[in-house]
Amino acid sequence: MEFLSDLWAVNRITVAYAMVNAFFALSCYAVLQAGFLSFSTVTFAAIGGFLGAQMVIHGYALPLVFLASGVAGTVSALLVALVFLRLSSHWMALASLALVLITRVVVLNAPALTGGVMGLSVPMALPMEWLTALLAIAMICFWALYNSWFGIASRVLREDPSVAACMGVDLRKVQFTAFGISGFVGGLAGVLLALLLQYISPDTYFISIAFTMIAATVLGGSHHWLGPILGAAVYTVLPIASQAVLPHVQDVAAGVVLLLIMIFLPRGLIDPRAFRLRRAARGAK
Amino acid sequence: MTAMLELDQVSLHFGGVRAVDNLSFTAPKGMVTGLMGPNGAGKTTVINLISGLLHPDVGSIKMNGHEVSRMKPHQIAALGLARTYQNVRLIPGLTALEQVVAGSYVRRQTSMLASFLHTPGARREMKAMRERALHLLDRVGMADAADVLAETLSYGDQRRIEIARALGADPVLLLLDEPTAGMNPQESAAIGRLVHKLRDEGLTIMMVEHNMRLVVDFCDTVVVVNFGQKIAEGTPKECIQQPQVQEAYFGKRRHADSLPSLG
Amino acid sequence: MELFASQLLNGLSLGSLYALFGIGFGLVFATMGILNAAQGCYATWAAIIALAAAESLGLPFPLIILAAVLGGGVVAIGVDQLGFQPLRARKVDMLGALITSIAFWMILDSLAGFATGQQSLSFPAWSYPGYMLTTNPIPLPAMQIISISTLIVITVAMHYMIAHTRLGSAIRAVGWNPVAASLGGVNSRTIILLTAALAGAISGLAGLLGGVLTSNVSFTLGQSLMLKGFAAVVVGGYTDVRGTAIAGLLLGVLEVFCGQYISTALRDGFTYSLLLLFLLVRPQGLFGSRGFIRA
Repeated sequence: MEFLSDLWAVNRITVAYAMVNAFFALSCYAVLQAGFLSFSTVTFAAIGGFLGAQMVIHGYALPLVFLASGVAGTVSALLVALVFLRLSSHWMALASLALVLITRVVVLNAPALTGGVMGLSVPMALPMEWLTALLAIAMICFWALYNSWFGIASRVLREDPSVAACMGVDLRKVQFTAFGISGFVGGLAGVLLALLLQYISPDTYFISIAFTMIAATVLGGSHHWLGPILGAAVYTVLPIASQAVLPHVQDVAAGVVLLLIMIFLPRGLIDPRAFRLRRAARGAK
Repeated sequence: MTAMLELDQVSLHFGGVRAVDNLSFTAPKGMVTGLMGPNGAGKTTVINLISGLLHPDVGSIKMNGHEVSRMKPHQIAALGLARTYQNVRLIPGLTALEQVVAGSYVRRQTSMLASFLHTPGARREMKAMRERALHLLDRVGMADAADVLAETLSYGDQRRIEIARALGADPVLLLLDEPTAGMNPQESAAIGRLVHKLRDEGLTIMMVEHNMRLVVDFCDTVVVVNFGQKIAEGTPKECIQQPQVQEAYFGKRRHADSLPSLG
Repeated sequence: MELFASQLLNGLSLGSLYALFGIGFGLVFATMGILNAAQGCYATWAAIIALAAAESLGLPFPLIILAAVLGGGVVAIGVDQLGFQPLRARKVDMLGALITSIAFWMILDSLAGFATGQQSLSFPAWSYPGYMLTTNPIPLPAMQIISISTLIVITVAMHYMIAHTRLGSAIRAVGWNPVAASLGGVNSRTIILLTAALAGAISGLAGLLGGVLTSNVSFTLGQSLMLKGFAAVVVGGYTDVRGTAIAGLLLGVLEVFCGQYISTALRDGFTYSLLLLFLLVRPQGLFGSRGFIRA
């Protein structure tokens, strides 16, 4: 029994990291499943993160902090969508990358809100019950979306926008909604990360996290909501696991795993279509 | 005889190419109208214009009394238009049943929010949609394949599922773009009979069709285009006998005459 | 006045690095439709290889440049064949290529961290011309003149090659449509390898010059070159190397003057805001033509 509780104590932080990364990946997935690659989750997270951190510093209750971060993320996402949705998907990906770069500069130059180059210390640790509850709620919500008319519309839109349009899908509305969802989850991700690290700086919400969250989403599979969660788990655990076996090369291992996935399983680990194809092949025998 | 679809002096240019040139025709309500023409004549462009994927430079397109030439595709779909595609475009990863349920999207009554919250009403509607989808698959003879991944089925089967998907939208006007391509004579005739049944139930259908046999057997009226222009309009028999139609499909008589015979 | 001229030179020299890198990056972008997140690593690794060669073999500066160019080319070919080639067979889209390049970015950057012992290394003073050409009327560091001249030479050579030679036509044809190009008699496989190698070599050159000029051979070298080089490609237009070159120089000058006269903290912000602005309003850049190659 003691062994188990020791195991838990040692791995608690890893699990917490994996869960927070899941939020980043889910935010990424929310726009990917409507057909876009966008790094803008990082911007939403920065906004939610710094706002949330300030609220915690000033003693606001956690439920309010989480709600405010999510809403702030949504509002910024809708504003970003207003501008970005006029672009074709390739330009949008690049523009979102530029947005991430600019976010860091803004963070550096708003010391009143963000502590500037010194960053912000967050005086509260992330309570596991809250993290678990929020993730459970997020999973239920994404499950509900997947199996709703919105889920059907976005799947069709992603695969074939013209067919979707002629089928009655209002492309803009679905895309905006996708961005809104991404914003809420992204803002939440930002404040959760702030509470987990207990210190955030301009480099917290930058290129590194942008790339790893996309990688996690693709690895886990961007065609089903379980994908990003699994991908985040793998991406968090992998470096730590490989540290035990092959110390010092954990980042390389992460890159190699991603490369292997891209070559052999490009739709990711969790792919409803692949499952069905396999089932059909088995049934045929 | 009222018109379900009315094109009036529609033109569309792509750079220097006149894809559609001053095209005017009507598709009468409750009838099957064929759209014929040799390859490259602009037939699919016309379908794309009607469904809103393209917009004409000039001219008007009226469907069921509504002016749709400047509308977005989803708005036109909401007014009762459904279509199929020249190269079958089913959605990868979905079963046959799911394809048809997706096609019913435009007929949903529950709001996005209710659907997200999975209210009893939303669940009931989804159940009803699935039942209706199964019924539609049955109509096209694909009920057995309801839970099969649509992309693993044969080309002919996929075409039929695509038709069922279009029917899922409960349209007033159905556009079929070469529905029998890749089918043998029996399958084509089955499609033709299905089209007639749908017409008898009140649906207006316009189909792009190459197969002269099918056009003669199943179309009530025909529009023939070439190089984006209308070259004939009338009953199938009338059109086929017209010299410009024969020339468009078979070439000039004097060219045929000038070839050394094989005998 | 002297300060102005001196800063102008600083800006041009910095900008020439961005421009040079951008030319390599833009070549891959324009011809293969790949947004290569790992391109910065070619620059980093070229610098590392060149430094290692310099220190172990005591090479003179021209050979150090050669080592960097070869190193960049080899790394680029490796990434292209290991990562992008399997994707080409399956016609994976830009997203897939981007993510693969991210995988390589992760691998190459961490390996670069090992190679430099997580530190920022410098080229030893004997290995490059660190002297002033003259100090009247303003200091003219040799390295700055070298980097600006290199940019000019490469730009002219690349533009000539792409626009006026058969090789250039072949490269453009393969970028547009590899199958059609093969039908036209072009060996797509060779051209792709050549394009990758060339892009890697040029970025490698930028990496070497940058590593010397900023005394920073580490994984951060490639990263900053990439972000600014990417901005140069977008602002200048990726269809013409001259556009990239001019934009790179412009960005370098603007950045230095912004830092000098406005604020150091906002230096990067100016560049990235310009980048975003162009992406939103004029994605083809100042000198480019409309129409994304991989729509």
